[in-house]
Amino acid sequence: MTLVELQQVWKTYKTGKIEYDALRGVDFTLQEGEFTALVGPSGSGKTTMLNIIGGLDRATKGTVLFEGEDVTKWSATRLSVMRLEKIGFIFQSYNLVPVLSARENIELSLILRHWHADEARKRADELLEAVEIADMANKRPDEMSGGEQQRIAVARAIADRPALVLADEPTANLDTATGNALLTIMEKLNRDEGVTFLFSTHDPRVVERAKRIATIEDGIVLKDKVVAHHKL
Amino acid sequence: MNTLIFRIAWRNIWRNTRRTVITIVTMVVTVGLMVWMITFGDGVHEQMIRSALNLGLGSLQIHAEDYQDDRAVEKVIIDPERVLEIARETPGVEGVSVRLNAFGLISHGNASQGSMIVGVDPVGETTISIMDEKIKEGEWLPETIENERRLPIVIGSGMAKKLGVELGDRLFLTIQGFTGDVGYTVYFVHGIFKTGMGELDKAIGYVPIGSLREVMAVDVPLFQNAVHEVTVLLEPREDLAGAVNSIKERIEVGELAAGNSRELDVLSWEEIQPGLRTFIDLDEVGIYIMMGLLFIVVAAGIMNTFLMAVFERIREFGILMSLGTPPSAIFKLVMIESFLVGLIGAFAGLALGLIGYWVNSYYPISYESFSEMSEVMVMDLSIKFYPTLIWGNVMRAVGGIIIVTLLAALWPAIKASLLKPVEALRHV
Repeated sequence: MTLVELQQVWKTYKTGKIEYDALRGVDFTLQEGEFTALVGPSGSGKTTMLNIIGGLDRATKGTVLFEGEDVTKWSATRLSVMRLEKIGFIFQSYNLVPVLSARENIELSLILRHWHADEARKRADELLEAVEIADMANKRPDEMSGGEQQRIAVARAIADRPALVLADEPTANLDTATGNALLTIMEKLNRDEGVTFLFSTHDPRVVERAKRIATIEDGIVLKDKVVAHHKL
Repeated sequence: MNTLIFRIAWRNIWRNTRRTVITIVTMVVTVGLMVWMITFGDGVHEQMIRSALNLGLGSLQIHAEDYQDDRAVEKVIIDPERVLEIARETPGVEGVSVRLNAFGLISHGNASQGSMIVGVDPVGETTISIMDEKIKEGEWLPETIENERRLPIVIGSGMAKKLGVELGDRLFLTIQGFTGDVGYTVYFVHGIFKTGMGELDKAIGYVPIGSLREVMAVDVPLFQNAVHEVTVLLEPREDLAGAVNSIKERIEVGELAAGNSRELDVLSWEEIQPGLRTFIDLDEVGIYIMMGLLFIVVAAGIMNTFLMAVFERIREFGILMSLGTPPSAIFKLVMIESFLVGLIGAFAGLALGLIGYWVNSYYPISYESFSEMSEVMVMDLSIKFYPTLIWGNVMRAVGGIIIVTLLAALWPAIKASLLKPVEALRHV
């Protein structure tokens, strides 16, 4: 089933009198259960595309369909509900809430989804085990390493089993071992729980594990190929 | 949204401890000052009212119809017994007494002074006024007159000075009777009072009501029990309007004994002396204007704090939005933070104000050096001023600062809720 469909999506930024097209008529579809990497050089439009798919930003022109619904004209509140119910985000710079502990960061995303507090705590503890940092449950972000923070960010993104996880350069700030460990966790979630992942990356480790690779340059998707034999 | 949002809000307000503490201290000092100002103001007003009531005004008075307007000598309550009974049965009554008022000339030798002579029940009068406590020389009127040839009079120190009389001196009184005839009698100075209020000390004399009535109602049986006013003093903070209405109702339903030729007026002290009420109301308006100005200054500080707090956390709001937090929840988060700050500031300020109230209760403020202004102020300034704690009034400052905090945070909260997620996430 098609989860996301972009039809002739344009995104133009204005800085004073200067206009800049970050996306120039992108056509792209994402099926449920995919583990896809969006690759391309810096400034090619990867992050913009992810932001538009996730409802964090709006297309200047074109249509964005999510689960078949045109979200282009949705209000800020309706888009926030879509993010809440369907999408998990993983950012390059982790983006954890600084005043909350590791466990609370995960709980927050569940409580926003109206989970009962006890259930949210139970699920947060399960996820802390899954990302192998249960001992950091009560630490705040500033007490954790980059890799540990990113594990929490992954746990937070998948906490309520979203339809789609958008990961923007998730391994960029991590060392090789940590990056690999995280990718393994995400692969497992994709394989075992059917969570759809779309990465923006230029990390070869991510590209190596992706089942599909879309290449974007100058705001246009140039190549899109399914990798037959990916490495597990 | 569970207690987590409160935890986030609580932790957020302590992220910049110094700034939060400065904001809260400002609020605490403001509320503390307001609470003290209110308790002191209420204390002064209560004492001002009490002072006026105790110096003879009473909480309410019952007169013959229109007596308050023209003070015509013949406008009397002919049979006051039933009125007294109704007044005494009114809940919250501290004292009830009758008075007969006459305007006349008091002379001693060649000196004379136009004055108001008040005929009182010497015992009843002490239940509604403190004039007996204001006696500086001699004594208050005796309960019974032992010597009909030496009728007692109590006069003010100003009058004594003007007439050049001392205790035991003879005063010649000329007054108009109920029927228009002029009556004469002689009194002997039994006591001299001093209230510190010039008009009262210069122009009033108190005599036993029976003696005055005899002069005013010579051989007219109709006026044998006549009085001009029944004065009622209520316990402090009793329901004045309730008491007035209750007496009015009972008088109007015809419980009043037959024999009175006129309708009666039941007037609260506010109707008898509207100037005092207006003065207090204006003073209260002054206090509230000052409170308003303080609120504006504090609001500006709070708004600045929250704007800075919002500006510093733009990226964080972006994170929350990316998680799916709706704009309304972002708005709520900032408002909860401001509510918590307001709550701490308000109640810590209340505590500070109550300490001020408590200290002031033990060390009352004295305006003794301004006692010469008593007349202008319509109150005895020689007394010490104690604060009065009226929770309803004090809580206006507490509630006010919480509302002001919420209002001041409104704009920052709206600003935060209107952030665009992607721009907020890019914010450094």
